[in-house]
Amino acid sequence: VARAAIEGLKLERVAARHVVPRLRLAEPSADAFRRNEVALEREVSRIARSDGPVIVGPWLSEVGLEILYWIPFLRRLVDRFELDPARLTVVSRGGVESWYAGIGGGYVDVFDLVDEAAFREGLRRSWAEYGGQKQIDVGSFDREVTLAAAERAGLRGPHLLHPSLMYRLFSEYWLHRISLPAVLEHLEIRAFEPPEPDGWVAELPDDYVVARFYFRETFPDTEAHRELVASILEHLAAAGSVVLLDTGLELDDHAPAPMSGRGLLRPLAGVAAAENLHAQSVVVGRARAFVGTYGGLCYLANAYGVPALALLAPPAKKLGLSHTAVARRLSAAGGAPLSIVATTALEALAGGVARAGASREPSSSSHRRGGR
Amino acid sequence: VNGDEPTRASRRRPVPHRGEGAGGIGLADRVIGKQIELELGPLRRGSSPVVVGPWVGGHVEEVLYWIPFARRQAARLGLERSRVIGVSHGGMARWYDDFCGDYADLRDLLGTEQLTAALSGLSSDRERAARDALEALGVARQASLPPSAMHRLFDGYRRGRAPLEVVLEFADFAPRALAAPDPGRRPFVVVEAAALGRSDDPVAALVDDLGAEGALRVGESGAEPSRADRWALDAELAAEASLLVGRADGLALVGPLLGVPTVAVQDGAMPPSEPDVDLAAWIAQRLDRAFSIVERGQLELLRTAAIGPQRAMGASTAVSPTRARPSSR
Repeated sequence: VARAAIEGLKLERVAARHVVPRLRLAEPSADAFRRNEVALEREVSRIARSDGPVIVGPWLSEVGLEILYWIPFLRRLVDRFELDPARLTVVSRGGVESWYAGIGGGYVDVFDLVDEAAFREGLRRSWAEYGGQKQIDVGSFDREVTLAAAERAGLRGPHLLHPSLMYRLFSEYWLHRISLPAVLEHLEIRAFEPPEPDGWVAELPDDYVVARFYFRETFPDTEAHRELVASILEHLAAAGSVVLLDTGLELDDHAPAPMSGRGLLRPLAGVAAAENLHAQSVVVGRARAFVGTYGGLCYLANAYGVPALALLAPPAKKLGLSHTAVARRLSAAGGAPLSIVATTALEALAGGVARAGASREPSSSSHRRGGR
Repeated sequence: VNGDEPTRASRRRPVPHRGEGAGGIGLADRVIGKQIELELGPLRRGSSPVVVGPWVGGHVEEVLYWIPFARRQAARLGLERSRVIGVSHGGMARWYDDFCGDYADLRDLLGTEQLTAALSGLSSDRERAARDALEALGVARQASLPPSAMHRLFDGYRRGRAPLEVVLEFADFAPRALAAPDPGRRPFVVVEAAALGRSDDPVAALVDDLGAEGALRVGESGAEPSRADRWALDAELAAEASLLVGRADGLALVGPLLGVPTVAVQDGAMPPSEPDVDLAAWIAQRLDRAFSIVERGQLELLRTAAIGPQRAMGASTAVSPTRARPSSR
C-alpha cells in the first residue's frame, strides 16, 4: 500500500525529506536503472531511425557474459527496434559467428585483425582503462578494433552498438539492487543452433563427455584442486569417452588446469585463435554432458541443450548469484540442466563412499555390528 | 492473455512507461522499513517482556526470513535478550537463543489440536492461534514483534518483484551453532528422505553407495511421525554431518546456516522457489559455506565424477531423529 501510494501520488520527494531523511535516497537503484534504460532507448532509437551500417561490439569480454546477456540483449534490441540485420556487423573473437545467428548480417573476427599477443596486450590496456574486465566504456582497444573491423568489412561511417550500453544497464542488477524481471525484459533467451558439422566433427567419438577445467577465482589453483581434477577425469574416463577442450591457447586470465590421464581425447590442440571458440562449440554441442569449471563454457553447453555439471570451490565469493538466475533461464530454454557443485560435496561423497567400502570388508563388518 | 501478438510499435513504447517494473530497492521499501521502525518503536521502552512471533508457519521460511528479520529488529531496537521471548512451534528454541532469553512453544501454549489445525488451516486459524498464544503468555499484541512486519517487507522479494537487497538490508543472518562445540565433521552424510524418489533414483543410488554407516536418512514418516520437533531434530543432526543432501525446497535451504556443506536437489532447470534458493546460496557465500544445486538427473553424473562408475553395494539406514546419532558420537 505504501509503495503504491507513494509512487502513485509522486510523493517520493516529500517522503524522502520528511519520512526517511536519514537515508541516502538521492539516487535509488531503480532510478539509476531507469535512467540507463532511457539512455539505451535514446541511443538505439537514433540508430534505428538512421541509415547506414552498424558495428555491434566489439565483444572483448568473457564468454559467459556474452552468452548469458549480450547475445540475448541484442536479440531483443533487433526485435524491439526492428533493426535490419543486414545493417549489423557483429565483431567478436574466436569464430563465434554462429552464436549471433539472426542478429547480424556480417561478422568480423578480432583475431583476423590482431594477433594473439596484440589481443592480450589490448585486453590488459582495456582492463586498466575500464577499471576491470567489463566493457563499461569504449576503451582505446575497442576503438582500434572497431575501426579495423569497419575497414575490413568495407563499412563507411558505421554507428556503434557497444557492449557498454548493456553493461551500464545491468550493473545495478549484478549488485542485487534490481529485480530479475526488470532485466529479463531486456533479454531474449534462446537456445543456440549447433554449428554446422565441419572437419572438427571427424575427430569426435559418437558418445562422450566434454571436460574443461581451468583455474580462476572461484576455482583456485591448489594442489587439492589439481588432484580433484585428475580424479574426476579418471572416473569419467573409466565410464566412457572424455573429450577435453584444451586448445593450448592462453587468451585470458584463466590458467588451464593440468589434465592428463588415459583415454582423454584432445582434438582441439593447436587450433587457431580465430576459430578456437567455434571448434569448442562443435565439440560441446555434440557432447552427452559437460563437466568442468563453473564459467562461460557451462553456459555454452546449456545453450546447446547439453547438461552441465560445473565446479566451484567454496566460499566462492565471486560466484555471481545474479548470473545463476539468468543461467537457469538459459538452461530451461535449452532443455538441459545446470548443476553447480561445490568441490566439498564431491570430496564428502568420495570420502563417504571410500569409508563405506572399507567398512564393508568382512573383517570390519563384524566390528561395526558390535560397535553399534 | 487474448493471444494477440504485441505490435512492433507497442514494443517500442518509451521505456519509462513500460511496466515500471524495475523493482529495485528504493524509497517504497525504505518507507515500509521506516513505518515498521515507528510501529515497533514503543518496544524500546520499559522492561516488560517482548514476544518475537508467534510464528505459526513453516520452518524453512522461519529460519531463512523470519528469524534473521527478528534478530535485526531486536538489535536495532536495542532489546535486551532477557526481555525477549521467542514463540514458535516444533522445538525451535535453539534457533532463537542468540537474541531471545526465553522460548515458548505453541504446543505448550495452545495444545496439539489447535496448533495442528492452525498449521494446516486458513490464515484466520493462524491469526487466532497467534492471539491465543499471546493471551496465554499474558502479553499484549503491542508488546510483540509480529511476523506480519516481515511479510510486508519481504513478500515482494519472495514473489520475484523485489531484489535480494531488500532482504539483505532488513535481515541479519547468523550461523547457528547447533552442532556440539568443535565436533569435527562426522563422517556421515545426512539425506533428507523427501529428496529420495524411486528406488532407481540417483539419490537412492548415492545413499546406497554410502552404505549403512555413511548415510543417515532423516525426515521419514516411519519413525515417530507424531514428534512435533522432528524438523528441529533433523536440523541438529544435519549440523554434524559432513554433507547434507536435501530437497531444494526443504532442509537443504538451511544447510548454509547450519554450517554443513549442502547439496540441494531439484527437478528440472528451475528450483521450486527461486528466491529461497538464491537466498540460501547468498547466505552460503556470506558465511563461507559450500552450497551445491544439483538437478536430480545429473546426480548420476555427479556420482560418477566423485567415485567412478562402480556399482553400488550395501544399503542405507532409516534413522529416527531421536536416536539418529552415529556410533562415533
